[in-house]
Amino acid sequence: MAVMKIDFKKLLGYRLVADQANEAVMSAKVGDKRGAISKAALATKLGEKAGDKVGVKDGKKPVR
Amino acid sequence: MSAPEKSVVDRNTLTNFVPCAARGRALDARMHIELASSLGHLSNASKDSFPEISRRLVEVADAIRMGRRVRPQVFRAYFLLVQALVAEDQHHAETLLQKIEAAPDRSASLKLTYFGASEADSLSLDLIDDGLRLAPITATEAADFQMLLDEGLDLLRQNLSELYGELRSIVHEVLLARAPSGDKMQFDGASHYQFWGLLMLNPKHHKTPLAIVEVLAHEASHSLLFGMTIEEPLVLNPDEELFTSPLRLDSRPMDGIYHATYVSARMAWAMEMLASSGCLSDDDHERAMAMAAVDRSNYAKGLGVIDQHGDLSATGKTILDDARAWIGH
Repeated sequence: MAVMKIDFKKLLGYRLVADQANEAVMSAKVGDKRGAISKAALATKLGEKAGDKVGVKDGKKPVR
Repeated sequence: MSAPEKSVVDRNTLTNFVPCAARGRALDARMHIELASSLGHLSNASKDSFPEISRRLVEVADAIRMGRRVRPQVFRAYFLLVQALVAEDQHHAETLLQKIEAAPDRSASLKLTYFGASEADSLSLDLIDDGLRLAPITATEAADFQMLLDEGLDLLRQNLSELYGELRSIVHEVLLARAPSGDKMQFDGASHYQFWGLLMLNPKHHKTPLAIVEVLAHEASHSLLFGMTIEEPLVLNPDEELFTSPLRLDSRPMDGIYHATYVSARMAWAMEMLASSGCLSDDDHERAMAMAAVDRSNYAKGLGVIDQHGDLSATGKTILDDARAWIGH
C-alpha cells in the first residue's frame, strides 16, 4: 500500500498542533497512530472542552 | 443548496472585541472553506492508497465550496476521519465519510435537542466518548428550558442585535444535558473546537432570561475564539503548564485561562450593554450590573495570570488587546 503523506499544516484544526501531530505519528507504533494523535497532539487545543465546570458543594447552587 | 455566502469583513473587524453579526457570518463561512480545503487535501493524500475514498472526498469538498452548510457532527467526523486515514484504517474512514455524506444539511433555525431524545443519542455518545461527563434530561425539562431559551434569545435580539446576529451565525445547535448525579464538578455550558456550531447547556444552572443571555454570551464567545483560531493558537505555552483559572476550580493550561478571561470580558459587555439599554426592570438592572461586576473581577484575575505567565501568539495578543481596551475604556 502506498504511504499517505498528510500535511497537518493544511488541515483545519490540526494546523494548530501540526508539529505535535507529526511527532506523534512519527513516534507511534504501527497501528497506534490514531491514538497517538488523539492523545498527544489534540490534548488541549482541539480536544479539551472550553466549557466551564463549576463545583457543587452540599447540594447547593454551584458557584463559579 | 444555497449559493456560497460572500462574507468579507476587514481584519480589524475579525478580531474586534465588540460583537458583530457580519464577523460571525464571515467566521462561519471561513470554517466551511477550511473544512472543504482540508477534505481536498485528504483526497489528494489518499489518492493512491484509497482511490474510492479520495473520489468521494472531492465530491463532499465541492459541495461545501458550493454552499453546503454542515452540522457540528460533520466537523467532528472530519477530525476523526483525519485520524482514521493517518492510521490507514480504511473501514473506519469509510464509515466516517459515509456519515459526512449522509448528514442532513444544517437548518436555518436554531436546533435545540437534548441528551435523552433518540435523535441526540449519537451526538451525546460522541461527546461522552471524548471525555465530557453528561447525563440525560427529561422531555419536560427540555420543553421548559426551550421556553426560557426563547425568552433569552428574544431579549438578545431586541436589545443586543449585533451579539444576537454574531451568535446565530456561529451557533446552530444547542444540546441540553446535565452532569451525572453525584459529580463534584459539573458543567454549566460547554463548547468544543471539533463540533463547530454546537453549544451545550446544563438547564439546571440557568433559571432566568438574563442568565440565559449571560451564558449565551459566554459560550458563544468560546466558539468565536475557535473561529478566530484557524491559523495559529492563541497561546504558545506548553499544554503541561497549568494555572489558576478565574472560572474553574481545576487548574488549566494557558489556552483555557485565555478563553476564560476573554469570555468573562464578553459577559461583562453583554450585561452592561443590556443594563444600559433601558429594557430591564429595576431588579434585573441591578442583577445585570452585579453579574457584570463579577465578570469584570474574573476578567481581571485571568488577565493577571496571562500577563504574568502567558506566551501569546500574534493572534492571541491582538484579540486580547482589543478586550483590554474595551474593559479599560
